[in-house]
Formats: sequence, structure tokens, C-alpha cells
Amino acid sequence: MENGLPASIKEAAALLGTWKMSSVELTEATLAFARETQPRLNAFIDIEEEVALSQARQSDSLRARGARVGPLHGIPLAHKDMFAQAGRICGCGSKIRSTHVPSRTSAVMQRLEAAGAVSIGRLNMSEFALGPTGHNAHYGRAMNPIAADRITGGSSSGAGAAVGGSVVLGALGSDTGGSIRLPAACCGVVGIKPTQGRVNTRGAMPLSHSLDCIGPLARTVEDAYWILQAIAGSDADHRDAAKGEAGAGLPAPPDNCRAIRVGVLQGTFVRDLQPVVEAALETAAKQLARVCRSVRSAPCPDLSSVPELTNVVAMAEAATVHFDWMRSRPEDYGPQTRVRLSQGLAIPAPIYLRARQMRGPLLAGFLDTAFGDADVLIAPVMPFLPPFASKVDAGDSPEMADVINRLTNFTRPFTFLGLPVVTVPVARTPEGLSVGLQVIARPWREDLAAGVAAALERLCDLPPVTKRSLATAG
Amino acid sequence: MNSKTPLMATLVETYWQRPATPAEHTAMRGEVKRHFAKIGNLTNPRENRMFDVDPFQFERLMQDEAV
Repeated sequence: MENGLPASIKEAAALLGTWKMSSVELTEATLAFARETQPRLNAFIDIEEEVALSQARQSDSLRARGARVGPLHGIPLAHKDMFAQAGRICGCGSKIRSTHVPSRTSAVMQRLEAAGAVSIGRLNMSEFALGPTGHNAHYGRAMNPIAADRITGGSSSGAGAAVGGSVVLGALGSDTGGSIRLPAACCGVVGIKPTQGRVNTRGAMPLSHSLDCIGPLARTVEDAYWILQAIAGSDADHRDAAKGEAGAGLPAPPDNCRAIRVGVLQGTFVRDLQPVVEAALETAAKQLARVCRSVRSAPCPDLSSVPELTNVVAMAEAATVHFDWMRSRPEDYGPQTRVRLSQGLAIPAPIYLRARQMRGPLLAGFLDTAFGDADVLIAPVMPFLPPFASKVDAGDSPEMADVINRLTNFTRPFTFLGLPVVTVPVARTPEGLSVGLQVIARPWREDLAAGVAAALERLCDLPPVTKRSLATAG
Repeated sequence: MNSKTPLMATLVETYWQRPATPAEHTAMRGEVKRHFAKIGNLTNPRENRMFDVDPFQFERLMQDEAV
């Protein structure tokens, strides 16, 4: 507990389950905290009080009638502004969709509703999920709860700010090149980018259908995994169905890591690291050696082309989705979003298809080489600490591509390879800045990645970056 | 590619029925340079490596891994 409020979904579920707190009480406190912190964090695009309280009342009512409920029942969460809910605005962090009201609820929100979760609002994000810094020309950037002058990371910027700022205990984000992992790392929380196809993307804003993944950010690995278990799986009417079914059945993470071989990914992932990141990686490896079967260096095949391959696939597909608006409403995009979408028009079909086609050989090579002697791999999320927001606010300048590449060089490869990654904070600088590590597993083995990430969480034993407070929630 | 190449401007004018802004023009030219360096120029052209690559290898591998 933190100042009268549950510090995790697990704690909240226990309180709700024993009627020590009702969902309405917890939701009211969360809404109050969201309102109070909004001027400082700018985490929300909209706080939806009436709907949230209605859901909370329904949740309490169901529980009172003795319904069998899961761990998310009655828990107030908030989500990136890109998951359709029938009758509620879904704006994608944009001006263009700022009044769009979908008629059908997205698959992930249906699953969360079925799990009884309460949704208290739409979280800030990079416009149309394009942008690893979290800047947004229309709504302003969400603020890093650890250090306001640093970026939250993007594109799930509000999710990072809201979970890192202890406003909510969990949130949904999306990841097409690092958009869950970067905010999780910058804001000192846990993020899960699942295997490509693990979570149904129907009704979620499309950015790049080949690469988009939906996943949770939360304060603990266990909480994040509970959310992932709630949203994993496919709908029969969705194109991901085949892959989703193939990977269906998300097992619980192992209780211990004694059978797990850990590889410290080499190559570019250990070069030119900021000393604090290098030290965090070394310490994490040493810690894991105490509890895992083995920790060894894992060779990394040449992935130098992968960030650009990811960019080509993502931008070609994004430009396809935005093609009509880029003709009819170009001035309604923020400058960086507009320029990035225009890049898609400069990608010839053979280059796009070549990039898609190279996914197979690169995945095969990576599985053989990097996972040859390892069940999971570890690598930093970024080679440096979260940058100052002013230093990476490149707008539509020629420096934009370099800024984006530097931020996403360590995350894009695992997007392109379709692999599951759990991001966990492993170190804190004296000024409180967080260093995040990626725990990467073979396709569909989120359980192993989560098991090792949970071990790191226990071994590092870091306090939350911020504390929840009932007093300030008033 | 020299600075007077009109291809990017032509693409925007043709498909989006408007002129490209200077920032769009610069970004599109940068995009082409990057993907030429990292994708178009990846392999020895005499090998033509992609000729023998199964376009669905990625999906098959993901399915195989699920078993």
C-alpha cells in the first residue's frame, strides 16, 4: 500500500476482493489523482469520469451478486487514445480524428470490458503513434514523472506518464518500433511488447499492420502479465486469427529461472553504451547468474539494416493508411507527422516488398545465432538515459531521422523479428532517472521473458519511481 | 541523385494533388538515400539473393515456433 492506495493491481484486486475498498471508491480516488496531476503530467487527452464511475458501479454490483470475476475486475486503468470503444471518442492523438466516435469496440477493449476493468480516460500519445519522443503538436507532450525536462518516450507517452506517475496501475499502449518499451524505460515502469499476432489489433488504430503490437504498461511484471493474459488471443473475424490461434494459451511465467539460459546480446547492443547503462547491464547479468541456469554472451548476427527495414515497412504501410488525408488535409497533421508520412511516398514497391521478404531470413538467422545457446536474451532499451526533451524535439527538420534512429536502434530489431519483449527497470541514477532492460524471448514465449523480468525486478528491488497518494488525491 | 531531381515533387503533385513542402521534399530524399544504403544495396547484385527467398518464410517460422 502507498498512502492508503493499492500500489499494484495485485494489491488492488485483494482489496476489492475482500470489500476493503469498492471499485467506486478506488475509481473516485484514481479520478481525483488524475485530475490533480493532469496540469503537471499532461498524461490524459480526456478524463472520462461518468463512464468510469458507471463501469465501477457495475463492477461492484456484479461482485456483490457473487459473480466469478478475474484479477482486473473493478480496477481503474487508462489507455492510449487509439483503441475504439463504441460511442466514445477515439482521437489517435490527432486533430484529424479528434471528434471521431467509433460504432464498434476494439477487440482489446472488449476483452478488458469482459474482464471487468474500468477505463478512466484516453491517454496522450504521439500523433497517430508516430514518434519515439512523445512530442505532440496538438496536445503537447506528456511529462516524464521522474524528470519533467526529459522525454517520456513515445509513442505511448501518456501511458508512460500515467503509470510512472502512479495515476493508474496499468495502461494499454501499442508498439510498432518501440512505442511501449521506450515510455516504459523512460518512465521507470514495466512494458510488454508481445509476439507479433499474439494480441488482436481489430479496432485499434492502424499504423503498420505488419508490425503493430498492442501490450500493457504497468508497475510490476506480474500486473503487466495479468493485463496481457486478459487481452491475448484472437477473434474469428480477424486476419491475425491463424497466428493468434497458433500462439494461443499464454502460460503463467515460471516460478523460478533455474532452467533458463540467459544470453547477453552482443554486437551493437553492447557498443557505445553510456557508462550508467553499461553498468546496469553488467549488474543485471551478474544478478541473473545467481538464479538462472546460465548467463553467457550471445552472439548477434548483423542487424545493421534492420532499423531501416523496419522504417520502410512501417512508413509504407502508414502512408497507405493516411494516403487520402495527406492529399485532402495535410495541414491538419503536426509538422513531424506530415513529413514522416510523406516519406512513405518515396518508398518504391520493390523496396517495401524486399524489406518484408527479408523478415524471414533475418528471423531464421537470429533464432539460430542469438538463441543458439539461450532461452532468453537481455539488451538495453536505449544506449543512453532518457534524453532532454528539448534536445530531441527535431520537428520536421533534417535531423529528425537521426533522432528517431538513435532512439529506436535497440527496439526496432525485435519489432521487425516479431519477438516478444518484456521491458523492466533495472537501475536508477542518483537523480532518479531509470535504466530499462529488454528481456527478449523466442516467438510466443512471453512467459519465459516475463519470468526472467520478474526475477530482475526482485533482484534489483527498486522502489517505484513515484508514490501514490490518497492525501493528494483528496 | 542531384538536387534538381524532380521525382519527389512529381510524386506528391501527382498523387496528392499539391506541391511538396521543402521539409517533405528533404525528408523524401533522405528516405531514398537511407533505404538505398541499407536495403537496395545490401547484397552483391550478381547473387540476386532475394530470388530464392520464400516471401512467406517469416509467417511459416512464426507458425512453427508456436508448436
